[in-house]
Amino acid sequence: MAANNSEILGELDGEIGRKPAAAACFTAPVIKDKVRGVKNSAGEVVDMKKGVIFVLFAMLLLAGCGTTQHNEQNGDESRQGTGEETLVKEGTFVGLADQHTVAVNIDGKETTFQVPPEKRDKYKGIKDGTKVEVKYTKAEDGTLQLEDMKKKK
Amino acid sequence: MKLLMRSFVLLLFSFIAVFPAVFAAEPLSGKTVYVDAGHGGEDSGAVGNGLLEKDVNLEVAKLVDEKLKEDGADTVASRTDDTFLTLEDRVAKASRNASDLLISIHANSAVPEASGTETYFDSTYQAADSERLASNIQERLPDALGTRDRGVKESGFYVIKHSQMPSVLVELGFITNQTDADKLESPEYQEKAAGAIADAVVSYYE
Repeated sequence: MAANNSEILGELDGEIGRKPAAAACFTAPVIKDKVRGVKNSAGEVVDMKKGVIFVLFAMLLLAGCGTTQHNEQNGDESRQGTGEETLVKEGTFVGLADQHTVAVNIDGKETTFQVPPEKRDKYKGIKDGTKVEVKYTKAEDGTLQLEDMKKKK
Repeated sequence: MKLLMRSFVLLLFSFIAVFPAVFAAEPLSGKTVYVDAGHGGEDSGAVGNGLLEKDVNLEVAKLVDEKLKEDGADTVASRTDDTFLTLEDRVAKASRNASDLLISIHANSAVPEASGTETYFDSTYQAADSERLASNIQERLPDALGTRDRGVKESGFYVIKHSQMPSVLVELGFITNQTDADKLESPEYQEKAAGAIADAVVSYYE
């Protein structure tokens, strides 16, 4: 390791660590004027350029993490702001469960949707058993919110 | 012989005295009432002010069931826990149990300003009796809850449209209105609502 460092140090232009006779095992390399290096706790000379590269890499990595986290937060805000993804499915209209709920059989399973007040009258004329296409979102409280329901031709 | 005659007269007198009281205590004796707690399981119904409609419906339906039993009725519940039932299942269960009446318990949802109590019937089967039961409920329920009286209305909601016995769907109040929601959540008001509905059923058979 020391030898490797020495070789590398030999290629550096640093001034730090210019102590060629500091360690007994250290064969003084031909050190140019500007060799950069520091001794570690074991007394080995550590490549300063490597250190700098490592620090820069770590900063870049951390900066990248920060950016990713920021994007994720933005993503959450975006989902909260615009609502969840609109889903479209076909099924068979079962009927009105009550004043604000319609039931549609989708893939053999009865599924209920909450209907916004302004659209309630629109669906009261649909006959049971009619083939329909529903557009809906899944709200944070788990309810399925009907955006639109059309008769399928 | 005289003693025997006296005993017989005494027994007859006791029977005559007690007989009407027995029936007065159980005015719904011999009647089967189906109580349907709307929604359930994965179907929460309306959500608002920290309440899930399915929970409110179940609590009130259980109390209605209890009070009808106290009045002598046989009762059948569509559900007694947080279970999902299809609309067809609900109607079929009422029919299978030869129910004389069907009462579906719900809570409403709209904009926060909307409030009040309304009762629905449908004209497909037993129109007149369904409307009469709806009127009996609506005469009592808003007063009991202290909610706005939105009246009796007609609409083809599945469970009242497909049930062949007289049937009504009660919208207790708006879960999306803070004042109504506070009452829907309150055990005291749930008790009052159940009492009003049970009294309406007794009145229906008088």
